[in-house]
Amino acid sequence: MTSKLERELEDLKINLLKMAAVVEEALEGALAAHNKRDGVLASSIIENDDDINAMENAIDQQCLRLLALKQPMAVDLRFITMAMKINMELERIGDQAVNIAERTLQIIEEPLIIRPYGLNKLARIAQAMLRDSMNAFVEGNVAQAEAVIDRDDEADSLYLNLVCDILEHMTGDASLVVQGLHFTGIAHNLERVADQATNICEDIVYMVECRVVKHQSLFKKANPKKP
Amino acid sequence: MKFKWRLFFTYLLVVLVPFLGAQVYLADTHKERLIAQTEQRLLKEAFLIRTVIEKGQGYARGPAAVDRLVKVMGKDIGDRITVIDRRGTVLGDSEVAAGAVKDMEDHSNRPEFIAAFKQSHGMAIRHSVTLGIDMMYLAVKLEHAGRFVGVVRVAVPLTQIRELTRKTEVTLFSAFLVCVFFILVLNIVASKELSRPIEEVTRAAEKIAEGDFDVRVHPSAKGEFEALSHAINVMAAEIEERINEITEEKETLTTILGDMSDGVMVVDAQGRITLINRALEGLLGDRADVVGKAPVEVIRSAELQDGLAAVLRGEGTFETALCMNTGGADRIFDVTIAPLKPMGRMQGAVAVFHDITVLKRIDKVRRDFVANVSHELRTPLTSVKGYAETLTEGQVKDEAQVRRFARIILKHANRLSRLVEDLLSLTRLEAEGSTPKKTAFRLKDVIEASVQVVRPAAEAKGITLAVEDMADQLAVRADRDQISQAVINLLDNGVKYTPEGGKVTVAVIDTADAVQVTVRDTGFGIARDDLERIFERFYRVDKSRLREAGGTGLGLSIVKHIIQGHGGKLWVESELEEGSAFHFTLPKDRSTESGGTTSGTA
Repeated sequence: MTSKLERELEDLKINLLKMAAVVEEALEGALAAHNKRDGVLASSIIENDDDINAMENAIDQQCLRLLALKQPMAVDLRFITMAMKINMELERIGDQAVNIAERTLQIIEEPLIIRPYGLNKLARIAQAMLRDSMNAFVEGNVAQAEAVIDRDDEADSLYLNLVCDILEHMTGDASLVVQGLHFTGIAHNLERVADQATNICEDIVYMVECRVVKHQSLFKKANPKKP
Repeated sequence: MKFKWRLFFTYLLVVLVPFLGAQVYLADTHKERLIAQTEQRLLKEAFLIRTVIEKGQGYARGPAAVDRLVKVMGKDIGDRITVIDRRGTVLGDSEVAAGAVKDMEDHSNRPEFIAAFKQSHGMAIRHSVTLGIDMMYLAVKLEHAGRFVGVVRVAVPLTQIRELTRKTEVTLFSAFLVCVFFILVLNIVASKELSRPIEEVTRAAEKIAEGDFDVRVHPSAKGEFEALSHAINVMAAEIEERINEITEEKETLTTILGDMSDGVMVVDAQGRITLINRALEGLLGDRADVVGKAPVEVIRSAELQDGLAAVLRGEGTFETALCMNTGGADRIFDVTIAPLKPMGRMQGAVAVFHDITVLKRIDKVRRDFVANVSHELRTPLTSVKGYAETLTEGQVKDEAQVRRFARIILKHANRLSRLVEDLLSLTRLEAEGSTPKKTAFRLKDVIEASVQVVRPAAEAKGITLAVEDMADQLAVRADRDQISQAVINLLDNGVKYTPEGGKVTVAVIDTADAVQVTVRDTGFGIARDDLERIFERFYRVDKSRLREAGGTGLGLSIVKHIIQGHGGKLWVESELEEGSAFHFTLPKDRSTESGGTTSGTA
């Protein structure tokens, strides 16, 4: 027999996963719009962001209500607070999707000159990290979450290479600056998605094991005696 | 309470009631009668003694004589005799020593004394302080010369009566115990006889409850129990049949579900997954432990979750298209969700995932083809029409200009003719029953000839065109023109999609059962999403790329048809920004090979 609190937590989890699904779809859609130079699709992604924002608010309300009315303890408390943080990260990923869609709308105004190699790869990594982070959330799988955290370095270096590549184009030909800036923007958005997926995974590790993996360097300084 | 004990206590009650009745009767009536008898006896004795004392030489001689007389008589009768005068002073007592008589207490307050005063005699039963036992006292008036002078009292201990009563009680109790013993024996026998069939039926019922439906009760008793065991047997048979039916039905369902190519997911009324079939399991990959989870935990789709919730709320059926990433390629499913509502009660919902990826793709290919053909034809036609109109109007007088226009018209007409040519060859290749005109030839010759065809274009772009790993003497039996076209198309493609300074290589590898030709380039590569579609007609990976490359968009499609027509395989490996490799195989035909060699030596 499940208690009422357990049922409500389950409901919260489902809502959060629904949010994740919608955000993943938005990101997928924005990238597809970019790849296919599809303005209609890009516009629809921008419009749909209102739904994501509404979902974020609803989940926030749900978390606050649970905190206020149920006064949960220990693992339940961690779950609800981390759900709030994950919720926030997801909403931001939704915003990144909107940013990508907006930049796409501008990119398709003019013929494509730069082909930034590696953008698709970065997109795939960011999407995979997001997907894996939510899978880790479903399973409470710390190993999977940590694997996502490890991949962030890959995303970062890919982003740097990409930016260097685009910069080379821009310094070579001033007429490419506008397009180059749009591409760096999209690359930055994707890099942020990877970061946010990493944040989600750090929250998951804390939620499951009550272990802080965020800001490790800070921690080492604060507790120099600990190995 | 056990049947045996219930029976026992009933018997016990039946025996106990009469015994208790006897006990009550004996305690009251029997005792009363004994006392009355004793009283009668004492009264007679008292009258006798009084007569002796009155008429004989007793009272007149004084208290000492009375005492002596009393002691003599008391010894004869065996009862205690006491003579008391009017004032209550004891004159003589048969059981008190002669000297002690005058010290005895005043007896005037004794109830039998008082009663004897008032009536002619009095009786009392009380505990004698003097002797320490229950006694019956009986007193009669003593007269002398017509005057009341005192009382003669006779006393007898009641020990006799008590002993008599106890004896009867003991007898009664022994009889009771014997009865109880008999009840016990009777009970054991009778209850065993009674409870055995019940226990048998119970055991059978328990086994049936545990799922052993083969059990049958063998009636050991007649009457009601026979009917009961018969009923149990019928029930067991019935249940067994039903269970078999249900099991069979379930197995049929499981088989159907398991062999279905569509994915099926069943959720309970709370929206938890209770079952997924093998097809859906395969789509979900390694996430096998899905039972008990919410659908959104397994398939990340808000629409599916909301759809299921809506169906569970009783909003009828629900249908949606769902794009699912199934470990690699995205697949599109048509998901139908229906409520499970046996007997009108919401038990859950079932979602069926029908894979429409192929349908969608075919639909898209068809639509794209029509659009593409029209588009590809229109562009050169517009130019041809435009320039031809200008020339017709006769405005252009300059001969050089006229020639330039004519050249443009020719160029576009050539393009149109190439397109039509390609379309025709595609149609020929697709046409049923068309078989390649097979002849034996050395693959090397065809490949080298093809390389020569593409070389000018490659050199113009500064692309190295190289032949590697050539199996020199390898002969195949195939349509020489078709194979040549396929190789040219692949090489041409490689050159087109490789940036300047790149490299395109062709290699022939002799594998165990086939000849494999590989054309490798260091070009842009093909995105994973495009890989599946590049062999479609008019499909272009990069739509923004101008058609200036000069292709018709049919090249790879033609290659595919040629290779398939030869019973070979065509596939592509590609990594974005690293290049692509197109491979095709031609099946080796042993007889052809030897035949080719023979003809070579001849």
